[in-house]
Amino acid sequence: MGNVRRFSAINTKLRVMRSRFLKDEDYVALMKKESVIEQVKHLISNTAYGQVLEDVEEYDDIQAIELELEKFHTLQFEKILNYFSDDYEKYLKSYLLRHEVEDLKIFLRALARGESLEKYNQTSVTRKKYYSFSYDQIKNAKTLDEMIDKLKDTRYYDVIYPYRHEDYGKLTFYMEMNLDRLYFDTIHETAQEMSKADRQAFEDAFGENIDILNIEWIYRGLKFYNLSPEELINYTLPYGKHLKFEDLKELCYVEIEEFKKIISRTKYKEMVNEEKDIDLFMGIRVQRHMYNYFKEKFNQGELDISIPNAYLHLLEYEIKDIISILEALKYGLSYYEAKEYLVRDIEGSDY
Amino acid sequence: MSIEKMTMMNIVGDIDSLDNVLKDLLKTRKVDLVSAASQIEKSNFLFDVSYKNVDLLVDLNDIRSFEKSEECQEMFQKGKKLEAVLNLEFEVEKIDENIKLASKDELNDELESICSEVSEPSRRIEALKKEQEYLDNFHTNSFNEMEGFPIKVEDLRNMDYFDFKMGIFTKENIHKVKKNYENILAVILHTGSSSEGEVYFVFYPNKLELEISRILRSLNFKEIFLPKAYAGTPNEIKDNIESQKEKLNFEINQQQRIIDEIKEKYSDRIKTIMEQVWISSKLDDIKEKVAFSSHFFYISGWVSVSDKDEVKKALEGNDPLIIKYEHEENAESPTKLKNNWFFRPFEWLVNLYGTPGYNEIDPTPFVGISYMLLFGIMFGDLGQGFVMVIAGYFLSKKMELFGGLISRIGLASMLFGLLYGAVFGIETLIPALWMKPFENINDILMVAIFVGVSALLVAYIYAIINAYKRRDIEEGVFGKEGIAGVILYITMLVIVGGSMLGLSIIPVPVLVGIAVIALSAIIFRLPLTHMIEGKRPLHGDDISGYYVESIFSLVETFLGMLSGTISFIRVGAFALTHVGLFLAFETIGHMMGSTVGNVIVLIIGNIFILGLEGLIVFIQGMRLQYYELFSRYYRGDGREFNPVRLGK
Repeated sequence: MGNVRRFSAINTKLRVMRSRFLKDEDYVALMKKESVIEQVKHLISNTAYGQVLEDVEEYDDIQAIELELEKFHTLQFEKILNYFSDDYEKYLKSYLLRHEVEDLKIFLRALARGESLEKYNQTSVTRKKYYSFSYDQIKNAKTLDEMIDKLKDTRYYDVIYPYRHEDYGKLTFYMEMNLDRLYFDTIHETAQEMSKADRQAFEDAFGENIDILNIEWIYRGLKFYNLSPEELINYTLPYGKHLKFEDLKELCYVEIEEFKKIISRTKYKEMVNEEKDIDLFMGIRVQRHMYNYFKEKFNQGELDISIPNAYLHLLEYEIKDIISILEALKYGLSYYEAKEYLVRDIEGSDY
Repeated sequence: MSIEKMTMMNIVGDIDSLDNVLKDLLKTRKVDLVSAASQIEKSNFLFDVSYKNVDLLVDLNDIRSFEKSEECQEMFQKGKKLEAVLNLEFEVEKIDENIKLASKDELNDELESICSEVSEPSRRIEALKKEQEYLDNFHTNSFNEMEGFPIKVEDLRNMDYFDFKMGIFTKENIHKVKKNYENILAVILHTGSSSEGEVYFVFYPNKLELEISRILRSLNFKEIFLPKAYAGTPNEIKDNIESQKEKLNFEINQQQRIIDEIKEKYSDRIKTIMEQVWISSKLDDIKEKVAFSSHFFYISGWVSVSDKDEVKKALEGNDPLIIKYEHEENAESPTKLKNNWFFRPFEWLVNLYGTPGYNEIDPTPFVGISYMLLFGIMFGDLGQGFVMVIAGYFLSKKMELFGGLISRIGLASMLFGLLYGAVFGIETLIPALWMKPFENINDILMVAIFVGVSALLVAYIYAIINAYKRRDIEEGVFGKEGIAGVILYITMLVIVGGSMLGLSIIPVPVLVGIAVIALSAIIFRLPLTHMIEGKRPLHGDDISGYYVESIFSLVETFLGMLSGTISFIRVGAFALTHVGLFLAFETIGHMMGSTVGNVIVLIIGNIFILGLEGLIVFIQGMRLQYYELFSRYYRGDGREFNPVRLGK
């Protein structure tokens, strides 16, 4: 099947769906509300999220709202999935692995701290059905060993099992690194089955994402984890776009100041912009970079996988922002403070 | 050649004799059980109030149904397990219906004891096989690249300042190692391969143990542990592995012999046990339709009137039973087709579409005759027909009805082959008794239409009879497949046929008049029916809707009659295709130049025609039956008579 036939319908549909995203005015209006309840009411009456948020019983229960928004994302995902089959369907489904990985990471962290998993309830039923393991069973685990044991027949076992005896700080770092790596390897693998044009579109976005994540990881590894350079380089992800293995290797073997200097000569210089606290804003900068990338790709509107890709990510960033806005109000952040933590750039907020 | 009359049989008996009664019923294969509880619900279990029946009537107030236990399922699982371990195969196909059933508990205990006897050796074998597998996966080929390496592993182990590991790197990770090798303080050598990837030997100063193991872990290094016994040089280790494998094999064989002995001892016994389990579970399934009170059981089932006495006789051996018959047949009665041996295979065709309703006439004989006729005309060939008869004969050993069908249409094909003078496509061997289709194209097409018209007329008659049986005046008298419809069809045939042949037996105005009357009858069928039945109001709620629909359906009726008739031209067309297709092969055969080549092409051609064209003609025949004929007269909404029985 040619790409014109494969994408003409879904990409048009996605453009319509994208037109229902929040406007900048919505962001401002939300941030200027007095209470979380007011904010949710605004979302219900003015945005596409109304269809799922109506089911929330208490409007100031942010966790419940997060669940519903997540459900919204999965429903949109299912809509897109209907347009694809075979290899493309497999590729899209491998996206969902990230949610599995994110959940596993949260569980790992909690169990490593000796907390119980009961209070974590952040995956909607709609999404759970795509999981490769039984979410609820894993959640029943009382200890880390038990959880690892329950993952025995999944793809995750081999990558986290070797680290079970590490001490807390390193254990989570190692396991998370490996889970992420597994996710990226898997999605890269499924992407290989697509047509050439789609593979290229994928590799472009993927490569940029990998670059920026590698920068984040090496930076944190150098600064916080004190890993040996040999180890550090082994945890970097392959298939980067601008930073190849040799470049990354160079980064691994330098001091942090030199690292910043090197990065500031690349396309990704905003990552180490010293105007604001690098450590604090690095996470949000990663997301902003990708947000802008996907926004651009979406607007270019090629007839390939880049639009579905971009749509799913943009929607995810928007949902993250909504939750940030709600939480900012709950914790009493001012309008200007809150803006700093949003992925989307509102009214001249900068890096 | 009809649908058998059915009667509902209700049996009440003492609860203790249930198993025997059921077994006797199963043996007859003549009773189609229905849920007794629902029969009781409908008050179809009526008994005279007499002294004898008092208990029964009191008991009827407390009816329960049968609860299936998990026991049989459990035993099946045990049987499956034994089957796998002992490498046995039970085919529960031929069931000895006279087998005496032991109680489930006895059977279960016996199975359990056999299972426990088997479990130890089979567990051992499993463990040994696992060990063997591990060796094969990780050790056997791990040292392939190290042949001739002179140093002993033992010596490496005993080094004071160095240590080593063996394990697997993925392709991608070894790539990383190579690119950063200058910074890794270890020697990494390729030694061989395993089932999960290439095996490497990592040699490093033991002071750096922690760093190196961290690095290895970051590369997802999967370590392979070498047992203490692997002490010599790689070559010696390889020999060691081989002898270990032999030892394992020997032990496995030993255990296998124990299992074989057990198999020898018990296999017949297991077979009989499983047979009994199978029957018990089947009886359990059947018991779900039986109702129980505290002392009695209640069975209800359909039985054909002609089999009544035979069934009764079969049950005679049991304790006194009360058997009552309800002669009330209704639309729910199952349909048991009764046809002679010649037409029986065509029941397959009919059932494929739908089982005739109990009140419908069995279309099988008509289907049989018309299908054979249509197939014969389309695929007339003495030789190919003969092949089909033979093939059908062998098929009928596996699939009785379908095979029979094939040999019967093969016969039709042979008959028409004689009429056409065709043997394996060759038309020069025998004279045509009737005509050669390819030389009389117009005639064969006319014949096809004539056959079609006759079949359609018979279909109309069937439709009218069926409507009469349903007492359906609307469809039967005024419907487009009823008397009005058939009159319309005949007048149209006479008008069209007459003008084509230039004859006029009946003047056209008269014919048109008759057609108009028939048409109006079809349009006004609902009010007319209501008038005759004395029902008011004459129409339903939506009068205009009714007439719009009615008039549109007239258009459909006309088109249907026209297309239905023309549709049969295909029968002639396929008769021509059949010859034409062979002509093509014949031409290719001549082009081959040699006699051998010619013969080969003709054989291939015949196979091709038999397979592909045979299939197409088979389907076209079905299409004509289902679409042009059945749609006019046949509903097929009945329930097939499905007697309870053991075995398949």
